[in-house]
Amino acid sequence: MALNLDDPSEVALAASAAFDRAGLQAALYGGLALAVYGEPRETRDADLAVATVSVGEAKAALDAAGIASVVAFSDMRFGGLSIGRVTIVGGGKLNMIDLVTPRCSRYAGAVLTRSLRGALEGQELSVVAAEDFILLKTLSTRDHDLVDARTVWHALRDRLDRELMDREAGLLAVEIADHDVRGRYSSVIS
Amino acid sequence: MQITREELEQRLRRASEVRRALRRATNRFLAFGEQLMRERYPAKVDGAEPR
Repeated sequence: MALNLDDPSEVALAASAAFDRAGLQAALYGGLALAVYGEPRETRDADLAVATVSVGEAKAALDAAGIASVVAFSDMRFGGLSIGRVTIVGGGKLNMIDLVTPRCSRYAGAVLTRSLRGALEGQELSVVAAEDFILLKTLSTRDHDLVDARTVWHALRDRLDRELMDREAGLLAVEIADHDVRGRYSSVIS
Repeated sequence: MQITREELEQRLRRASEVRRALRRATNRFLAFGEQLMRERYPAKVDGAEPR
C-alpha cells in the first residue's frame, strides 16, 4: 500500500521501520513526540533525533524500503544542533523528515540511550525522553522551540528528572560554548 | 488570480483530507504515548516516585 504522505504518523512509522532494517538508530522528536507526552500539536512532518545517521544513510535506508526520497540539505548548523532534511516524494505529494543531531556526540548518544521504546501498530518506535526533548529544544534557535519546551516542562515538571536536566544543561553549556544553552534553559524552567 | 468552482471545491476537499490525516496522526500518537508515559513517568498521585 502506498504511503499517505499527508499523515505524519505513517511517515514516522515507515521511516522508523526503514532505519531499523538498515541498523540506524533514531528516536522520534518534534510535534509527534509532543503528542506522545500528552500535549498534542498538529504537525505534518516527522522529526527524528539521531546520533550518527547521515542524510545519505537515511536516504539509502528509505530507498531500500521502497520509499522515494531526495536529500534537501545536510549538516546545517542551527545553534547547538546539526540538521539534515530528507524529503519523501510520491503521488504528487511530499513530506519531510528532519534528522536532528546535537553538536555534542556524548549528548547525542545519551539521547538515544535514554529514549522511550514501544510498539505502535506492530512497529517498534523510539521517542526521545521528555527531559531530552526539553534539552534539544534548548539547543535549537527558534522561539517556538522554547514554547514547545515550556509546554512539556509545565505538563510534566513534577515527574521529570530535574537533576539529570540540570546536569546535562551544565555540561552542554561547556561542550557547545558558542550557543546560549544556559540562557535558553533558564527561560524554559523558570 | 481567479479559480473555477471545481478548483475551489478540489482545494477544499484536499485541505479537509490533510486536516483529517493530521488529526488521525495526533490521536494515534496520543494513544501510543499513554502506556509509554505511564511506565516512564508514573504520576505522583499513584504513589509512585519519579524515575
